[in-house]
Amino acid sequence: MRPERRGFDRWASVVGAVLVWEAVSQIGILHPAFFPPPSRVLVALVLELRTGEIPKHAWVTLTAYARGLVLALAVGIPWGVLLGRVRSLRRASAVLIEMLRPIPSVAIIPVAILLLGIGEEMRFAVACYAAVWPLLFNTTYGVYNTDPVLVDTARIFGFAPWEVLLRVVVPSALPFIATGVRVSSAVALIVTVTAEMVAGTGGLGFYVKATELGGRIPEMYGGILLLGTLGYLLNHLLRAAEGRALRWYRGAMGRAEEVGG
Amino acid sequence: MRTPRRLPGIRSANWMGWLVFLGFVGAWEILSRRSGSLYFPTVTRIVETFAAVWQLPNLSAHVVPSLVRMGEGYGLAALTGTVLGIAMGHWRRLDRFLEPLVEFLRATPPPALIPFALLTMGIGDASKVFVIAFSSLWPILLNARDGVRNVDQAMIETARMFGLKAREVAMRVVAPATMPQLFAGLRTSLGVAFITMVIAEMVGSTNGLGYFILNAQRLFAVPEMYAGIFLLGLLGYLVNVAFERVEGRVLSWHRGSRAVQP
Amino acid sequence: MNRVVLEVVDVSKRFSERQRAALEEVSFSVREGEFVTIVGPSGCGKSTLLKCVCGLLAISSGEIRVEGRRVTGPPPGVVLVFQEYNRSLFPWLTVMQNVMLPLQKRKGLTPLDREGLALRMLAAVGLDGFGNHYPWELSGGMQQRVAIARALAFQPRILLMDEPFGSVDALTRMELEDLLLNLWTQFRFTTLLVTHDVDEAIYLADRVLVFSGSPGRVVDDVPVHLPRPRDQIGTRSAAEFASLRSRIFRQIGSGRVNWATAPHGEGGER
Repeated sequence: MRPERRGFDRWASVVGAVLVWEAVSQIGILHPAFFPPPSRVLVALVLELRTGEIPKHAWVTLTAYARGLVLALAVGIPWGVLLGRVRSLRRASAVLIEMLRPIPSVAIIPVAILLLGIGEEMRFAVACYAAVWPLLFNTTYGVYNTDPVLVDTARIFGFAPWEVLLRVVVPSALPFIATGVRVSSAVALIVTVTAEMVAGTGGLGFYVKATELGGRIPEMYGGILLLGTLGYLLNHLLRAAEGRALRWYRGAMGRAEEVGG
Repeated sequence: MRTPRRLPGIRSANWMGWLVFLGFVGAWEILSRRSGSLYFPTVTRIVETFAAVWQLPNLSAHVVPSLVRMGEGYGLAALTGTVLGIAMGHWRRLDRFLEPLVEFLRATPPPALIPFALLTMGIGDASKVFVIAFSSLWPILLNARDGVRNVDQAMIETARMFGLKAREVAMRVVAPATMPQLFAGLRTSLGVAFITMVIAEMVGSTNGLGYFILNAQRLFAVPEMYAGIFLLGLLGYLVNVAFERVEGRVLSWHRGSRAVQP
Repeated sequence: MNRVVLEVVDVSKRFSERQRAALEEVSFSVREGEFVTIVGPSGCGKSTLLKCVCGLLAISSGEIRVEGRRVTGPPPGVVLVFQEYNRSLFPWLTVMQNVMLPLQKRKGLTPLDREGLALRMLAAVGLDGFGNHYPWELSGGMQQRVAIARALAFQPRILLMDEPFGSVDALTRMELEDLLLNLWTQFRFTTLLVTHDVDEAIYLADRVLVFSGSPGRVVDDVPVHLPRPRDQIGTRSAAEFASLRSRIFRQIGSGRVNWATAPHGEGGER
């Protein structure tokens, strides 16, 4: 990864795009009712933040996302280690998993609504379901690819099987798990927002939809902007944490292959 | 460190795998009969409904529009992403300039854009196609860019040494060399397009498979809902298989060379 | 005469019914403090033998005894230095952490003891000051030295080495050979080293076990009476050296490996 460039010119394109939007909207090339200038959007956003409207919805989204992701980590990683390591289990679950795999997680939303209603439980369950798959696949992939030479080395030095698992297999699979976490995070956010739009009781997804229907267009853009920023920050945070923890991997290999959910 | 091996897929399954799967189906059937709940239709019911529902009328009313939208959005993304990605891979300055914007835009969850699209493009197909295209653009763009960047310098230098001019180098060395990575991006984007299609139809549409599933739920037509979900899975699988066929043809040379890598 | 610490008795190894045996009725023994090398063509089962001795592979018939006890799993105190040294070092640990890791399995050492031992070993292999580097930051030869330091820090009773210098360049190899001999002279650990390089086998050893092609068999047990300390130029140009060479080459030549029927599972990519 190239070092990030410090300084203003890094954001030149973003700032440029904003300025162009502002100009184009104010002049009227784009109809300001549909494309309000960024200045108006910002004002609306700040007002909504003040009233606590947006923070309330943001909190709803974040909690569903976070809870879902954490549970997915707790379920997906151990399960992935198990499948990666134990061939008989992998073979036994292969058919079932490959049958479920092509079904997009969002398609589960209606089922979840039937079973859990339209509240927080549903959103949390859907986020968790969506986040488990990328974690499972990436962890299994990483564990499966543990270098046998490393395992043999540990065994020679007298490591017991559980020690080999904890001190060789898992660290060795960490780069793949990290990729899985990033993908899971993105998917969890997308599915949470979708569930909010579909179920309509709270969250930023609901907010964006509601403001559009209610004709509060600058507020709608504010919500979208916030969601974009949220997505960006979460991704950035995960990458930073990953970079720290996996400094050794960057050097040793480069980029890990991305495995989709 | 050595190159990771792909996980053996369904082919690694043994009789045990099928047994587990059938066991799952069997358990569903038994439990759903016992429960008799509306929300828990039996497998036989679902299968019957599947066969009944997915006849020509429904297929043309829902499945065809879904696939068309997805195709259009994906196609648009593929075109734009490839061109832009190659440009960014070739001209460093352009890449550095656009990167932050790209990073921000691609982090925006696709559903967030649907109200925007509905507002500015109406409730027709255009809004859906836009959202699908927008979200599937990024994997293609980034992979195209990286593919161009990562072309082995040794190859390019060899070509130059043999007297190939810049344009020929681009077309006969860089382009083919970029293909594998580009296809990796195209594959990821296919999945993204598929998911986004479903999302767009659930949130802002009056037809399509996504809408069908959600609507079935609203009407408590539960077997129909499941019929839709499973068709979705089937379609996803078929689309993937089709892609792999194409990829296999285009990249036939690559498979061989990859196998020989140390 | 020192006591026998390793006994390999009529050991055969077959990977599957269809293939030829990798090893067939191999028998030899090693005494404490001896430096024994095994030499033979590629594919003759040498690596397989080492993996059986250290308990990573099960044998099909016969018996392996380390210090009188049968080998059923990795026996304590037996260490194998792999051919693929770059894959045997843990990439998420520094050099120092790599060397210290197996020491946690040694009872009776305080953390300070472990650190001291590791530092001494790193210095002994000439890697003073590289403790905080990661394996990927080092050259091939240096990585192999880390692997050796790690094995030695463990203070093994028997040191097994599988073509340890096979993947480094010729000059580095000579350095490493001498380094190994130095360390062996200091610490006198029992060593069993596999190589395909006949010169190296003679140069290092007290005894050379000559293996034939597949299935692997011991065809000769050659004592090496060259004076120690050995010297790259002096020893290698001795008349005795040349005659040992011819003797061994002739025997290897007689049992060349037939690639078409060589058993799988021997060396290479796992």
